[in-house]
Amino acid sequence: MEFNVLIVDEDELLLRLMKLKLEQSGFPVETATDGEVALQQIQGNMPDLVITELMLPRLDGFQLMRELNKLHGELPARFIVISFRNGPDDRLMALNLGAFDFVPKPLSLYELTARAKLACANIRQGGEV
Amino acid sequence: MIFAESANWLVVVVIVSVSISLLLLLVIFSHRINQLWQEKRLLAGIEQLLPHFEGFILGQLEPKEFMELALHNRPAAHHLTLRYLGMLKGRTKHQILELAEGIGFVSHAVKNASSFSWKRREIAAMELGVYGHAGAVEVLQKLVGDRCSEVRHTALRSMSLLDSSLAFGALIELLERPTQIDVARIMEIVREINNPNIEVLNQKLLDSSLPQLTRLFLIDLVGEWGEYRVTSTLHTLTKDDNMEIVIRSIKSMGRIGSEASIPHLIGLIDHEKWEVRAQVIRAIATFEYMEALQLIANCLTDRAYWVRRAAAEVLVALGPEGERWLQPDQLPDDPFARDIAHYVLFRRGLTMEAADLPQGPGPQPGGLQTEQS
Repeated sequence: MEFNVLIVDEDELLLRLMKLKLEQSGFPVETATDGEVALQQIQGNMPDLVITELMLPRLDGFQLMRELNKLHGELPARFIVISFRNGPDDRLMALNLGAFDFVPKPLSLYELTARAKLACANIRQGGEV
Repeated sequence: MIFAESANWLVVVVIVSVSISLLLLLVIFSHRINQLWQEKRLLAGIEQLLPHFEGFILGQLEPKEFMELALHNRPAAHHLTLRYLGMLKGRTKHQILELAEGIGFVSHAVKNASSFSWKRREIAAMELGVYGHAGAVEVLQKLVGDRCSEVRHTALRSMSLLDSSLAFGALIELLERPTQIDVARIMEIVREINNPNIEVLNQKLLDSSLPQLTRLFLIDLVGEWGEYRVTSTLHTLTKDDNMEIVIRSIKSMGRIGSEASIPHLIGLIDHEKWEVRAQVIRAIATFEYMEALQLIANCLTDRAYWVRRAAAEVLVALGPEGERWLQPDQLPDDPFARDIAHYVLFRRGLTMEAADLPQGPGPQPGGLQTEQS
């Protein structure tokens, strides 16, 4: 079973690298560089896993999750938050909004891949998101 | 005649001024053109090298093969190396660092650290922090004492980025010797360190030769960080001769909240100094350790006012479970205990029956002489 991944990050260099790394691990990956585009992409073609930075132009990571919670009653996909904004309050807020995991930046590509696989295994075990 | 001569001079002055202005404009224009050209070249270089760099990071390209490509495109390789190092960690970062050393970026930064130009020194200080090279500590230590303030501050920030015991120790040492950087700024930088070196931290905490202010700062800091790995060191510090060190250590133990501290704190509840007893009560309360309530309630009859008050305040702060110990039926038969219980409950907007207030002068609290407080 293939799990679609959407990565949202303003830094195009890192975005490219994460995309390549996850594709190397067998995930089909889409990307977005701001929150609004990400929201449209999620609504149009629901991914199984969203990896998002918190600091995004137009609609930040928290706002993106709030919007989706409002629209669907809960997050419609597994969310892994990656961010340089990684204080205890930010982590707590992300988890309270329904994020599955939080990976602080600077990040390890290997760790990110492992956590993405873990999130997908969780979807597989739990059935629906 | 005079008029004609003046007119000639005027013409000469105008011609010279216009020529100088044109020359200056030409210099500025050519500098800008050169800058734009360099930027364009760098962007083209990045575009060309990026897929290879990604291939190298993802293990699709042999390091040797990539190194050759990077050597032909040094500015782009330098730019990408710094960008990637700033956002990655772990095995990938290590791989890129090896590359940076291989191409000579690290040694170039070390060389630039002693450049005549302050801008170059500042860039070198920044780069050494990003590379995180252990050998950079000595260079950065020198740059912290640089004559230029920008260089000093960048070097200080970079030292906090280095993940080595040497760098952490050097940063703490900066607090002890006068530099041109404000101590408050150094403290701020130390406070922001994510992963302090525990060995160095334990060593510094126990180092009685350090100035008291530095030791107190470190004791408070471990409390702020919630650094449970220094718990046993804090236990040792409670035997220190300096009362301020003892009190702050107890406070930090409370903030850290390691359960291993509970028996140690209980052992200190009978300390000879009232300041210590009061602080122990506050620290125990932070654990919300209900079994300790009886011990705290016993302190309501302590010989020192501030200990009784700390006990009563802590019991109120613990909610109904704690307040219960301040009710008339639970209070010991001691007017001082009743007095402080009434006072604290009253301050919190809670009440105790008037009949239970102490009447007139009574015996000394706990049957002991009141301590000077």
